[in-house]
Amino acid sequence: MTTSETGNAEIFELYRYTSAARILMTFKGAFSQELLVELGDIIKKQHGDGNDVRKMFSVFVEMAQNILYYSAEKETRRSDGKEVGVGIVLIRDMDKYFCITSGNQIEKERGEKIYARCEELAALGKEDLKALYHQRRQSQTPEGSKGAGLGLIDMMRKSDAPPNFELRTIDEHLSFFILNIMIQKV
Amino acid sequence: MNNLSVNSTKTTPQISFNAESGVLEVSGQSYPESAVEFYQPIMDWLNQFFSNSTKQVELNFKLNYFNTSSSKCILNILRLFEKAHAEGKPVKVNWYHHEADEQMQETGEEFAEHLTMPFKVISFK
Repeated sequence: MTTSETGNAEIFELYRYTSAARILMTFKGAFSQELLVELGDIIKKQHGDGNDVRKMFSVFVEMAQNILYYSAEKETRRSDGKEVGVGIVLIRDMDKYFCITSGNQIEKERGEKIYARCEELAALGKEDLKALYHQRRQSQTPEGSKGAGLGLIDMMRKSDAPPNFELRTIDEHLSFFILNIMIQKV
Repeated sequence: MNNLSVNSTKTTPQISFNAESGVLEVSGQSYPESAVEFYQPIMDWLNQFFSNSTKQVELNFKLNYFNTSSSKCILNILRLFEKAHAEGKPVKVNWYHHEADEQMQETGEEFAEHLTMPFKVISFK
Protein backbone atom coordinates (compact mmCIF):
# COMPACT_ATOMS: atom_id res chain seq x y z
CA MET A 1 0.00 0.00 0.00
CA THR A 2 1.23 3.46 -0.81
CA THR A 3 1.01 6.40 1.57
CA SER A 4 -1.81 7.96 -0.46
CA GLU A 5 -3.74 4.70 -0.57
CA THR A 6 -3.71 4.39 3.21
CA GLY A 7 -4.72 8.07 3.50
CA ASN A 8 -1.87 9.03 5.84
CA ALA A 9 -2.19 12.72 5.06
CA GLU A 10 -5.89 12.65 5.96
CA ILE A 11 -5.22 10.70 9.14
CA PHE A 12 -2.63 13.28 10.16
CA GLU A 13 -5.14 16.05 9.41
CA LEU A 14 -7.83 14.23 11.41
CA TYR A 15 -5.45 13.93 14.35
CA ARG A 16 -4.54 17.62 14.13
CA TYR A 17 -8.20 18.58 13.86
CA THR A 18 -9.30 16.51 16.87
CA SER A 19 -6.47 18.03 18.92
CA ALA A 20 -7.26 21.61 17.90
CA ALA A 21 -10.98 21.06 18.57
CA ARG A 22 -10.10 19.75 22.04
CA ILE A 23 -12.05 16.57 21.54
CA LEU A 24 -11.76 14.48 24.69
CA MET A 25 -13.64 11.53 23.26
CA THR A 26 -15.38 10.75 20.02
CA PHE A 27 -16.95 7.76 18.36
CA LYS A 28 -18.34 7.58 14.86
CA GLY A 29 -20.04 4.39 13.80
CA ALA A 30 -22.80 1.99 14.75
CA PHE A 31 -24.12 2.63 18.27
CA SER A 32 -25.21 -0.66 19.78
CA GLN A 33 -26.42 -0.81 23.38
CA GLU A 34 -23.24 -2.73 24.30
CA LEU A 35 -21.03 -0.07 22.74
CA LEU A 36 -22.69 2.81 24.54
CA VAL A 37 -22.30 0.96 27.84
CA GLU A 38 -18.56 0.60 27.20
CA LEU A 39 -18.15 4.23 26.14
CA GLY A 40 -20.12 5.34 29.20
CA ASP A 41 -17.71 3.37 31.40
CA ILE A 42 -14.77 5.09 29.73
CA ILE A 43 -16.30 8.51 30.46
CA LYS A 44 -16.65 7.63 34.14
CA LYS A 45 -13.15 6.14 34.35
CA GLN A 46 -11.58 9.22 32.75
CA HIS A 47 -13.56 11.90 34.56
CA GLY A 48 -14.68 10.41 37.89
CA ASP A 49 -18.15 10.79 39.39
CA GLY A 50 -18.62 14.51 40.06
CA ASN A 51 -22.03 16.02 39.41
CA ASP A 52 -20.83 17.42 36.08
CA VAL A 53 -19.71 13.96 34.99
CA ARG A 54 -23.04 12.44 36.09
CA LYS A 55 -24.78 14.99 33.86
CA MET A 56 -22.32 14.38 31.02
CA PHE A 57 -22.90 10.64 31.32
CA SER A 58 -26.68 10.93 31.23
CA VAL A 59 -26.64 13.30 28.23
CA PHE A 60 -24.27 10.89 26.49
CA VAL A 61 -26.60 7.91 27.11
CA GLU A 62 -29.66 9.80 25.79
CA MET A 63 -27.75 10.88 22.68
CA ALA A 64 -26.28 7.44 22.00
CA GLN A 65 -29.65 5.71 22.50
CA ASN A 66 -31.27 8.26 20.16
CA ILE A 67 -28.71 7.38 17.48
CA LEU A 68 -29.19 3.66 18.11
CA TYR A 69 -32.98 3.93 17.70
CA TYR A 70 -33.60 6.83 15.35
CA SER A 71 -30.63 7.40 13.04
CA ALA A 72 -31.70 7.14 9.39
CA GLU A 73 -28.36 5.49 8.68
CA LYS A 74 -28.44 1.84 9.71
CA GLU A 75 -25.76 -0.78 9.86
CA THR A 76 -26.19 -4.49 10.29
CA ARG A 77 -23.82 -5.80 12.91
CA ARG A 78 -21.57 -8.56 11.58
CA SER A 79 -21.53 -10.52 14.83
CA ASP A 80 -25.27 -11.15 15.19
CA GLY A 81 -27.04 -9.48 12.25
CA LYS A 82 -28.70 -6.91 14.50
CA GLU A 83 -29.54 -3.53 12.95
CA VAL A 84 -28.31 -0.47 14.79
CA GLY A 85 -28.10 3.26 14.04
CA VAL A 86 -24.98 5.07 12.87
CA GLY A 87 -23.89 8.49 14.08
CA ILE A 88 -21.22 10.47 15.85
CA VAL A 89 -20.87 11.59 19.46
CA LEU A 90 -18.19 13.96 20.72
CA ILE A 91 -17.19 15.30 24.10
CA ARG A 92 -15.22 18.53 23.86
CA ASP A 93 -13.42 20.66 26.40
CA MET A 94 -14.64 24.25 26.19
CA ASP A 95 -12.92 25.89 29.16
CA LYS A 96 -15.81 26.36 31.59
CA TYR A 97 -17.96 23.76 29.89
CA PHE A 98 -17.95 20.29 28.47
CA CYS A 99 -19.77 20.27 25.15
CA ILE A 100 -21.55 16.98 24.41
CA THR A 101 -22.48 16.68 20.75
CA SER A 102 -24.42 14.18 18.70
CA GLY A 103 -24.76 14.06 14.93
CA ASN A 104 -26.76 11.66 12.81
CA GLN A 105 -28.66 11.31 9.58
CA ILE A 106 -32.40 11.78 9.84
CA GLU A 107 -35.29 11.67 7.36
CA LYS A 108 -35.91 15.24 6.17
CA GLU A 109 -39.44 15.52 7.54
CA ARG A 110 -38.61 13.96 10.89
CA GLY A 111 -35.57 16.22 11.14
CA GLU A 112 -37.71 19.30 10.62
CA LYS A 113 -40.06 18.13 13.37
CA ILE A 114 -37.20 17.51 15.80
CA TYR A 115 -35.66 20.87 14.93
CA ALA A 116 -38.96 22.68 15.57
CA ARG A 117 -39.31 20.77 18.84
CA CYS A 118 -35.81 21.85 19.88
CA GLU A 119 -36.67 25.48 19.12
CA GLU A 120 -39.78 25.24 21.30
CA LEU A 121 -37.89 23.61 24.16
CA ALA A 122 -34.91 25.98 23.96
CA ALA A 123 -37.28 28.93 24.40
CA LEU A 124 -38.55 27.56 27.72
CA GLY A 125 -37.11 28.33 31.13
CA LYS A 126 -35.98 25.61 33.55
CA GLU A 127 -39.26 25.62 35.51
CA ASP A 128 -41.34 25.26 32.33
CA LEU A 129 -39.09 22.43 31.13
CA LYS A 130 -39.49 20.72 34.48
CA ALA A 131 -43.30 21.00 34.27
CA LEU A 132 -43.27 19.73 30.68
CA TYR A 133 -41.03 16.81 31.63
CA HIS A 134 -43.42 15.81 34.37
CA GLN A 135 -46.45 16.19 32.11
CA ARG A 136 -44.84 14.16 29.32
CA ARG A 137 -43.70 11.44 31.72
CA GLN A 138 -47.29 10.94 32.89
CA SER A 139 -48.77 10.73 29.41
CA GLN A 140 -48.79 7.93 26.84
CA THR A 141 -45.55 7.29 24.95
CA PRO A 142 -45.75 9.12 21.59
CA GLU A 143 -46.20 7.00 18.49
CA GLY A 144 -42.93 5.93 16.87
CA SER A 145 -41.01 6.60 20.05
CA LYS A 146 -39.09 3.67 21.52
CA GLY A 147 -38.13 5.60 24.61
CA ALA A 148 -40.46 7.84 26.49
CA GLY A 149 -40.16 10.92 24.26
CA LEU A 150 -38.46 12.50 27.25
CA GLY A 151 -34.83 12.43 26.18
CA LEU A 152 -34.82 15.78 24.40
CA ILE A 153 -36.53 17.59 27.28
CA ASP A 154 -34.14 15.99 29.76
CA MET A 155 -31.06 17.05 27.78
CA MET A 156 -32.37 20.61 27.47
CA ARG A 157 -32.95 20.67 31.22
CA LYS A 158 -29.40 19.54 31.87
CA SER A 159 -27.79 22.08 29.53
CA ASP A 160 -26.04 24.78 31.57
CA ALA A 161 -25.85 27.15 28.59
CA PRO A 162 -28.33 27.61 25.73
CA PRO A 163 -28.29 24.41 23.68
CA ASN A 164 -27.23 24.64 20.05
CA PHE A 165 -28.78 22.57 17.28
CA GLU A 166 -28.71 22.54 13.52
CA LEU A 167 -30.21 20.66 10.61
CA ARG A 168 -27.96 20.37 7.57
CA THR A 169 -29.15 19.15 4.18
CA ILE A 170 -27.67 15.93 2.79
CA ASP A 171 -30.03 15.50 -0.17
CA GLU A 172 -33.76 15.85 -0.92
CA HIS A 173 -34.69 13.02 1.47
CA LEU A 174 -32.07 13.19 4.19
CA SER A 175 -30.76 15.75 6.65
CA PHE A 176 -28.03 15.67 9.28
CA PHE A 177 -29.07 16.68 12.78
CA ILE A 178 -26.54 18.11 15.23
CA LEU A 179 -27.25 18.78 18.91
CA ASN A 180 -24.80 20.44 21.31
CA ILE A 181 -25.46 20.36 25.06
CA MET A 182 -23.23 22.35 27.43
CA ILE A 183 -22.39 21.06 30.88
CA GLN A 184 -20.66 23.41 33.27
CA LYS A 185 -17.53 22.01 34.87
CA VAL A 186 -17.50 21.85 38.67
CA MET B 1 -46.89 -15.57 46.64
CA ASN B 2 -43.33 -16.00 45.34
CA ASN B 3 -40.64 -13.43 45.95
CA LEU B 4 -39.26 -11.56 42.98
CA SER B 5 -35.52 -11.47 42.62
CA VAL B 6 -33.64 -10.20 39.57
CA ASN B 7 -29.88 -9.88 39.56
CA SER B 8 -28.41 -6.59 38.42
CA THR B 9 -26.55 -6.13 35.17
CA LYS B 10 -24.57 -3.12 33.99
CA THR B 11 -27.74 -1.56 32.59
CA THR B 12 -30.47 -3.02 34.81
CA PRO B 13 -31.02 -2.72 38.56
CA GLN B 14 -31.16 -5.40 41.23
CA ILE B 15 -34.76 -6.22 42.11
CA SER B 16 -35.48 -7.80 45.52
CA PHE B 17 -39.17 -7.98 46.33
CA ASN B 18 -40.06 -9.97 49.43
CA ALA B 19 -43.78 -10.78 49.42
CA GLU B 20 -43.75 -12.00 53.02
CA SER B 21 -41.92 -9.11 54.72
CA GLY B 22 -43.37 -6.50 52.36
CA VAL B 23 -39.92 -4.99 51.82
CA LEU B 24 -39.17 -4.27 48.18
CA GLU B 25 -35.95 -2.87 46.80
CA VAL B 26 -34.72 -1.53 43.46
CA SER B 27 -31.00 -0.73 43.42
CA GLY B 28 -28.22 0.04 40.98
CA GLN B 29 -28.59 1.67 37.60
CA SER B 30 -31.12 1.45 34.82
CA TYR B 31 -30.60 2.18 31.14
CA PRO B 32 -31.58 -0.98 29.29
CA GLU B 33 -32.14 -1.09 25.55
CA SER B 34 -35.85 -1.51 26.25
CA ALA B 35 -36.97 -0.24 29.64
CA VAL B 36 -40.59 -1.22 29.01
CA GLU B 37 -39.56 -4.83 28.40
CA PHE B 38 -37.41 -4.92 31.54
CA TYR B 39 -40.04 -3.41 33.85
CA GLN B 40 -43.06 -5.37 32.56
CA PRO B 41 -42.51 -8.48 34.78
CA ILE B 42 -41.96 -6.15 37.74
CA MET B 43 -45.26 -4.37 37.07
CA ASP B 44 -46.97 -7.76 36.69
CA TRP B 45 -45.58 -8.95 40.03
CA LEU B 46 -46.65 -5.74 41.80
CA ASN B 47 -50.15 -5.88 40.32
CA GLN B 48 -50.56 -9.42 41.57
CA PHE B 49 -49.06 -8.54 44.94
CA PHE B 50 -51.42 -5.63 45.56
CA SER B 51 -54.44 -7.62 44.41
CA ASN B 52 -54.15 -9.95 47.40
CA SER B 53 -52.21 -8.04 50.05
CA THR B 54 -53.22 -5.44 52.60
CA LYS B 55 -50.11 -5.53 54.77
CA GLN B 56 -47.47 -2.84 55.31
CA VAL B 57 -45.27 -2.41 52.22
CA GLU B 58 -41.99 -0.54 52.06
CA LEU B 59 -40.38 0.21 48.71
CA ASN B 60 -36.75 1.33 48.73
CA PHE B 61 -35.12 2.88 45.69
CA LYS B 62 -31.34 2.93 45.82
CA LEU B 63 -30.45 4.02 42.32
CA ASN B 64 -27.43 5.95 41.13
CA TYR B 65 -28.48 6.45 37.51
CA PHE B 66 -31.41 5.84 35.21
CA ASN B 67 -32.25 7.07 31.72
CA THR B 68 -35.44 8.85 30.67
CA SER B 69 -37.28 5.75 29.48
CA SER B 70 -36.56 4.02 32.81
CA SER B 71 -37.80 7.17 34.55
CA LYS B 72 -41.20 6.63 32.99
CA CYS B 73 -41.28 3.01 34.18
CA ILE B 74 -40.29 4.07 37.70
CA LEU B 75 -43.17 6.56 37.68
CA ASN B 76 -45.50 3.72 36.66
CA ILE B 77 -44.32 1.70 39.67
CA LEU B 78 -44.90 4.71 41.94
CA ARG B 79 -48.40 5.12 40.51
CA LEU B 80 -49.23 1.55 41.51
CA PHE B 81 -48.16 2.39 45.06
CA GLU B 82 -50.09 5.65 44.97
CA LYS B 83 -53.19 3.71 43.92
CA ALA B 84 -52.68 1.21 46.76
CA HIS B 85 -52.31 4.15 49.16
CA ALA B 86 -55.57 5.65 47.85
CA GLU B 87 -57.24 2.31 48.55
CA GLY B 88 -56.12 2.58 52.17
CA LYS B 89 -53.24 0.11 52.00
CA PRO B 90 -50.28 1.01 54.23
CA VAL B 91 -47.42 1.80 51.82
CA LYS B 92 -44.30 3.90 52.08
CA VAL B 93 -41.49 4.68 49.68
CA ASN B 94 -37.92 5.66 50.51
CA TRP B 95 -35.76 7.28 47.85
CA TYR B 96 -32.10 6.89 48.74
CA HIS B 97 -29.38 8.93 47.08
CA HIS B 98 -25.68 9.39 47.72
CA GLU B 99 -25.21 12.67 49.56
CA ALA B 100 -23.03 14.04 46.73
CA ASP B 101 -25.46 13.03 43.99
CA GLU B 102 -27.53 16.15 43.24
CA GLN B 103 -29.30 14.59 40.28
CA MET B 104 -30.70 11.64 42.22
CA GLN B 105 -31.73 13.94 45.07
CA GLU B 106 -33.56 16.32 42.71
CA THR B 107 -35.19 13.43 40.88
CA GLY B 108 -36.50 12.05 44.17
CA GLU B 109 -37.79 15.46 45.24
CA GLU B 110 -39.52 15.89 41.88
CA PHE B 111 -41.31 12.57 42.22
CA ALA B 112 -42.35 13.57 45.75
CA GLU B 113 -43.97 16.80 44.52
CA HIS B 114 -46.68 14.84 42.75
CA LEU B 115 -47.35 12.07 45.28
CA THR B 116 -49.59 12.00 48.33
CA MET B 117 -48.37 8.73 49.87
CA PRO B 118 -45.50 8.72 52.40
CA PHE B 119 -42.37 9.31 50.28
CA LYS B 120 -39.04 10.14 51.87
CA VAL B 121 -35.87 11.34 50.17
CA ILE B 122 -32.94 10.06 52.22
CA SER B 123 -29.24 10.80 51.66
CA PHE B 124 -26.48 8.37 52.59
CA LYS B 125 -22.69 8.64 52.74
